[in-house]
Amino acid sequence: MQQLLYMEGIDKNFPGVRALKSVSLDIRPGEVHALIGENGAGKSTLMKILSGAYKKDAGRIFWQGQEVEIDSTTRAAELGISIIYQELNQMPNLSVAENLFVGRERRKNRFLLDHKRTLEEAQVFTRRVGLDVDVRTLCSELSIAQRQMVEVAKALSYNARLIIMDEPTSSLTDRETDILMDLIRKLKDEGVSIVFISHKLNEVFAIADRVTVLRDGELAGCVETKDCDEETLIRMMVGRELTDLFPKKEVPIGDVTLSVEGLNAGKAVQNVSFTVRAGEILGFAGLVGAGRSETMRALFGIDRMDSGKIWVDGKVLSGHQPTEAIEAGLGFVPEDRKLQGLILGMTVRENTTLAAMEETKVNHMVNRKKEVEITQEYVDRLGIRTPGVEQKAMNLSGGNQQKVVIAKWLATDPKVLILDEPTRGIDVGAKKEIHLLMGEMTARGVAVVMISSELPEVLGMSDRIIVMHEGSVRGELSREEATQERVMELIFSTKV
Amino acid sequence: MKKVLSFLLVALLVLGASSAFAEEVEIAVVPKALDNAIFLDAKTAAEEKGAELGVKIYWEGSPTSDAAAQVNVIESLIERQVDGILISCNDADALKDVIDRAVDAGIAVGCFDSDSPESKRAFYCGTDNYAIGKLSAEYMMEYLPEGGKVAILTGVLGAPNLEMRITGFKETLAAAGSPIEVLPVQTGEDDVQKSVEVVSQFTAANPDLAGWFFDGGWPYFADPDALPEVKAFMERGGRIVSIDTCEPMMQYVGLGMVDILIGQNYPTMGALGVETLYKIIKGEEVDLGDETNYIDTGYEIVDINNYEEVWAGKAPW
Amino acid sequence: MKTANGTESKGAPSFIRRVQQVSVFNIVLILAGMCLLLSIAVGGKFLSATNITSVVRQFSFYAIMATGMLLAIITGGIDLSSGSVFAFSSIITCLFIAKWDIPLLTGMPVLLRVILGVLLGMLSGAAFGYLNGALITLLKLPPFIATLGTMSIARGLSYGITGGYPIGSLPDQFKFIGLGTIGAGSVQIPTPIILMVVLALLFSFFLRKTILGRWVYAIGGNEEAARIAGVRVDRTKRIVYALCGLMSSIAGIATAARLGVGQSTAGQGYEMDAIAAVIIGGASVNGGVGTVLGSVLGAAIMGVLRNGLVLLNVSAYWQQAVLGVVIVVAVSFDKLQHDRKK
Repeated sequence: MQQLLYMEGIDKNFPGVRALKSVSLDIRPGEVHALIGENGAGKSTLMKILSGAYKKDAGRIFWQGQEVEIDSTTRAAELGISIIYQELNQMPNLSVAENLFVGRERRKNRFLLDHKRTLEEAQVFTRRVGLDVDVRTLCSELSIAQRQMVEVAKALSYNARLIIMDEPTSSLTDRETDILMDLIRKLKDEGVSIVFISHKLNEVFAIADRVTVLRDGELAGCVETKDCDEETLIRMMVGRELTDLFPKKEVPIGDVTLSVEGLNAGKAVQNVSFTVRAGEILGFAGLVGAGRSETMRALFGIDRMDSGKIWVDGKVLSGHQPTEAIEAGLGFVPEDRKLQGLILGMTVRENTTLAAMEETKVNHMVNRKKEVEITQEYVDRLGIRTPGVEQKAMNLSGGNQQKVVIAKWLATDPKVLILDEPTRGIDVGAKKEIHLLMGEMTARGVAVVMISSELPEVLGMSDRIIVMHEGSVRGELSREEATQERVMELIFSTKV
Repeated sequence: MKKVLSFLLVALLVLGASSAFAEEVEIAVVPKALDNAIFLDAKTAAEEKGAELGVKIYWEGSPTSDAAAQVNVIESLIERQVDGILISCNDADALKDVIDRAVDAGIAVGCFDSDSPESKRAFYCGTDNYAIGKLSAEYMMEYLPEGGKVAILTGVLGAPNLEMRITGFKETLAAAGSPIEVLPVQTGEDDVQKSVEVVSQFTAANPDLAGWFFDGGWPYFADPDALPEVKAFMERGGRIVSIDTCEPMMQYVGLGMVDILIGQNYPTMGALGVETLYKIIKGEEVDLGDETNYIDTGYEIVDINNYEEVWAGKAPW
Repeated sequence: MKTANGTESKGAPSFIRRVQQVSVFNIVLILAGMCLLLSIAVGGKFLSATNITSVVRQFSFYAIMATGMLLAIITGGIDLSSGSVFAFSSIITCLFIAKWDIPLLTGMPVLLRVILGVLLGMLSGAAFGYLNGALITLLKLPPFIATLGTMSIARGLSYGITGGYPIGSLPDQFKFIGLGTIGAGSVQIPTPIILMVVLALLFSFFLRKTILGRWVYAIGGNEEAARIAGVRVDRTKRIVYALCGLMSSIAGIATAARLGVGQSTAGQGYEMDAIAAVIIGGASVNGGVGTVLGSVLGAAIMGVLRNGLVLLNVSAYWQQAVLGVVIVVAVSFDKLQHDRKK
């Protein structure tokens, strides 16, 4: 079969880091090709070279049999290569049609826009991807899934023969994911090739024809999906066997630490009550938008709560600021580590000590030596991979960033730690480490509340599971009775 | 019934007319900006003259020097139908239209300090800035017959009155073939602190400097203690000619920190401007100066011989 | 102590490397380069003790103001009112010292009256700053808008109170703040310079060693994350703006003392000089970054530059353009150096 793309012996060095070492990749026409690997394995770097954002240091690229030099994103677009990034590059205040043709506006002449042609042509492409909205709708009014479809439509409008999708499903609900999968199959039928970067192996098996695995900047292998199983892929990615996917640690459960009664906050949270005990992991399952994050944000004092009572260790939590919640012994790892969890421009040290500044004081002054000590302790304990405590948080990989957020809360010595999507978008190895860490925390008597949109994670890690839907609690399941089906039943049972 | 009504109507008319007669003349005086202390003498004199003539004086203007803001001020005065406007224009052309509109609306308009010659204003009373520059140059040549380096301190660059003074100063020196060498112009941007710093640093850095021409007296708003460099400069034989004769500047003459102050006659501008407008409004005979309706308010000269007398005549600030 | 990937976390990098890592290294380089060029061009004129003293004293007022501005800028905000507060506070102080002729004040020892006047002026500046903070945190106004409003209010009050007249006849005890020197024997340092150094050290300490100081950076880095981490965002911002107002008032009072006169027109446009000094000093308008030392050096660069233009006899008509070019070049140089490091 004629190859659409062949990348051969690609090298890329960054100062002090060898990001890619002689990596090869081949893509066939009309193929869905998954690209997987832990964070930092080199997937993004490889794709950035392919799309012209980075220059390769060595190696050759063949496109439809011809050797090509991709020195700019324009060149890549000319060849028919489009990339859809995880963070969508859209102007939210422009319409779908305007976004489609941004930078190459349809025009009547040198100065005037051609609105009619813009709308007509936009419609052609949105129909092709099955996006059923008026093309005059502003992008800010679309769901993330719809906005992704806009990006696909944009790629098609460039006559893309190869579309690279960088973790397209990471912020989609299951239903939205299904729609995207359908779209990918449709594109495949039209002869468009897809490179699909993902951490979710079930999706890889559902959609991909072949899988290329990268590990530490090197090619770990390329296999036909039908010839392998999850175990194999994970082994290829981490280079070792992950014996237990969800290492649940059994620890004695203590007294009630946090109890919430009748919490209301706007439409998103309606009369939510629950308790969690020392040493227990309480999982929150539900669809995206079920009100789980909103519940946690309200009880932690980030958002306004309308009514409700919260007790920590039997004491009523007064005040409605995070500061009071922290003083009472709560900790909160928010769902978006870059926007809410970290101060990216600050160092690992500054981030780690931020919530526990009082601990860093010597003679009433912030003491740098003490800060370094505290930070180093957590860097070692959590295995945070960083060149040093003075490294800026923005330079760490996703998994290590998340560990810094967790370190920040461990430094406050919390009684209750709330984890909102603690392992989203991080690689398999780091994910496992965070799971082990949760076990370690419960062993020390910390009560853990975990929100996850990955049902197997909730089922695997929790002692008890609360199922939320449309702002209210739909039911509670013990570890023993909880199965994927039971959770789904609770979510959809009362739905007409 | 009809009779009663008509009687009421007549009574109302008479009342209205009589109150209109009783109404005093209203004149608005509009400086370039409210933040410029130089206009304060004009304000005082205008108000005194107003009290004398029984004219109500309004002191109105934009907070900072801004032609567009000044146009707005004049427009609101047209709305309020004042009887007369005395204005110092930030920009001759920008204000022409609005001045014409005011005149068309029956308001008597005169300019002081800064003119808009193309407009329909009745007269301009103020200083001849070129003449002031010329006079300064003449004094400088008298002080420095042998020549030497002379520096110029100016305010905001591009202000027409300041530029005219510099032109008058330079052209007079050139025409007389004076051996005086004029150094590049320095600015204090109308700011007292910046003026003081520039003068101090420049004086200290140029030991061969023979004279200073301040085309506005900004440094002399500061306290004499703040200008040790100027004191030293004068002690070693330097000469300074400065424009403006505000009250705080008088002490500098006595201290020997300036040779001569050439003042624009702001009190005269204020008083004469108001009086001339009043006469126009009342339809009285009035002298409108030369063929361009320019009334020269002259200038006052202050030196060591007369400063005590002049000082005594000025209201303390 | 080893990090997970096995590298030494606390090595001892070479002295030069360590110096280069200091964030203000480039600014020092620019300043040194400027001084060197000036020394070559005009020689002794620039290096004379009188000139250096004069330059440092001049920029010390800006540096004090810039230090306050720095705090607002680190939080991701800005204070446009500082030039007006500069004038307002100095007027309050001068009025208290020289104009308000109520028996209680006239009967007071001069030094006491000066001290109380200065404190009152500082208080008025801090109050204006706190008002800024309150508008920003309670009414959620963008800092640009809130301080644009108070800029006008403070300036208007200054005109209103004084009627535009300058306030002179200030006692020597007051003028000492701006004109005096402190020192022993032949080594005499002007008071404003000492004031600047002391305030810079205090604020440097505040930013580096106190929890509040860390919070200032955290808010600028990521306000939402800081709030979740327990940072009292609103309270911190109010304190920051109050401190910014306080620093403007100190600069204003010191300037009035240096000139021996308080004026309602003082400090017009000084906020832009302060902002420029902070940005030249390596701070980011996006917040989260910036040091006191950098801002002081930024003010120094502006001061030396102005002085250089005067010494080089550059015509006033060209000075503004040259000033602008140097600012752009300085900031670009610094930014390029940083980008190269990445």
